[in-house]
Amino acid sequence: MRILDRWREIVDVLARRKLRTALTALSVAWGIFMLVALLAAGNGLASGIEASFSRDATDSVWVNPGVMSKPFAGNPVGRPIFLDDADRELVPAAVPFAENLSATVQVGERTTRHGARQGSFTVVGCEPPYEFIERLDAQTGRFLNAADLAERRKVVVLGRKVAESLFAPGDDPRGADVTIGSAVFQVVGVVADESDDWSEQAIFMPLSTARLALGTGARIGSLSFTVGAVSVEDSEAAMQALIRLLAARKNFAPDDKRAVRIWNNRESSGRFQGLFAGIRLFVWIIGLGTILAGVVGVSNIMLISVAERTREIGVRKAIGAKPAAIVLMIVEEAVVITLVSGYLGLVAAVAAVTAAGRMMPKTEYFATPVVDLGVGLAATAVLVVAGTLAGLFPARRAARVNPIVALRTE
Amino acid sequence: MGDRRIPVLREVHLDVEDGEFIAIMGSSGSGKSTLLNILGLLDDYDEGVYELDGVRMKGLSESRAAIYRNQFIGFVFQAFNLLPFKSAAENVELPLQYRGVGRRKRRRQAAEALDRVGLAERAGHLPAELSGGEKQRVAIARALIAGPRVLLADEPTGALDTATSDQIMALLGEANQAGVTLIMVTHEPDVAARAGRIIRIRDGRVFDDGRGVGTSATAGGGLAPGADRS
Repeated sequence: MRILDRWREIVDVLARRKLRTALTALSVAWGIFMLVALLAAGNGLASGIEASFSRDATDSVWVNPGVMSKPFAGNPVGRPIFLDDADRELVPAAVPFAENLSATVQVGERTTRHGARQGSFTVVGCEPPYEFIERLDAQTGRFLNAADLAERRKVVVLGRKVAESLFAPGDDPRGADVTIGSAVFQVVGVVADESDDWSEQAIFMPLSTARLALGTGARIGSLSFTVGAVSVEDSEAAMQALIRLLAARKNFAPDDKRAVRIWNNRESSGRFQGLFAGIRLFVWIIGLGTILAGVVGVSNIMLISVAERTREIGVRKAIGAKPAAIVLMIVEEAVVITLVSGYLGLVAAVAAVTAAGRMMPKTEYFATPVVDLGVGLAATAVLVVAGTLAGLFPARRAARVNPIVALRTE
Repeated sequence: MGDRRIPVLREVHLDVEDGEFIAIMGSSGSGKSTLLNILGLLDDYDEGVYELDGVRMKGLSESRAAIYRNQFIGFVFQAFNLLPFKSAAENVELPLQYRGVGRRKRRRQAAEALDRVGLAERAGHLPAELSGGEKQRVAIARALIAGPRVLLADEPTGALDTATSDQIMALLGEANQAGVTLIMVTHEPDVAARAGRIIRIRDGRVFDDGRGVGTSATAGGGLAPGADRS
């Protein structure tokens, strides 16, 4: 039989049982709808959280001094820990793959003026590699450089929003002077950071200049660096080593979690990726379970259909239909039901997901849900396999129909 | 019912020549339909030998049997057995479809076959829209379209009035004239009378193979052939 013949017969048969076919189709469509919608929501959640990580380099590590929470070597609970320039050497010692090491100090909120415009902004003293840790994009001009640091230049880099509030549109901030507190600084660049509002509202100045202004000497607010593409385990081990070195030098308990806190983005994002994998697996199990229920439904109506069509099948056999032709006939019907209804579900899900993406307010942890091509292809494969399985059992029963018995049934 | 197996046919010895017109007669339950079903490869048998065109049919795979049914044998049933949701032409086409004949060619052949049974103008009608005689003519067109060597008819006129029966018998007769071997089960003597040879079956045994040979041996019980009434 040619494909067109088969198609016409299948449509004929299904059209004769409209209500039943429609109801069964609905269950399969719902299964696919659930699977795709849940996967899209899961993707949205995943990309939302991933985006919140990528505000900084996903391999960035922050070392922040804290306060002792355990007495150690005669030092009491509550003793603050301070980092200074001498502690920098511990980083390469413990973390051989560390790059872009940058120390920062918090200058704090400062009133900043440019002409008649003014605002209060966070001022940070940092080193040139900080650009890579915060993932800053220079919009105009440049970020801080080694010469700024060495010569303690009175220069600043403005976050995008700072520049917007201090400068009129079209006014180039480069080379302009801004007054921070009572000191005057020259703007050398403006940086943007789409994923992080904090750095867009900050002012960056050379660490050495900030120290001069604050009078803090060699003290460091925090140390940050990147670790590159090392494994989560390797990075964690290195952080433990760093803690031990710091503990020995600063006299706090190596297991004191508050004396020095290390925020390891590599580890956190790895942990979240594991969580997402778990969520995806869960969604697939639910979706496949729903589809399975639909498939059982299809299999069921095909069985009823075969029972009802015993006589027809008998006639076909008497006329010369081979068992394979009978099996194919039933399986094709099942595949057509699942495929067509599955695609209706898929289209409905894509429409729903798109509509939801348009209407939903964007929240930090839930980006626009996305249906990707992979999901569509996977769904198609699932449907074809499911349809074949749904049809196979009834089809084999149909092929076993004894033509004489079939011809006798009235 | 239970599991007890009751033999339907016993000691059946028959030779059918190419081009013969045979009527099989017997009361209901005599096994005549079973014999026809075995001849048509629709039913299996426990023992014995059935050769069709010199080929033993025992143990034939379902697929091979399907090929024989499709290309070698045509069926006409008492209850017509047309597919109710297909038009007359589509019903006639069906055997060609299972043979893999293309649509256009099938259409043409089906139209010709319907024309031969005088139903050219009814081609597009569903079986429900046709009279009993018309249905049977469609069934005959379907049985003959693939050019079978043997036409098996199970009470082809059983559901029809006398005038219509005559038309149907005329069509079957024509097919036989054209060289198709015709084997027909009937319990109507006037229908059987058209056959060149009448085989009588009683209690699963052939007691008259229509050749006047060995008749009394299997008949037994002193029954005369004419006693077979249904």
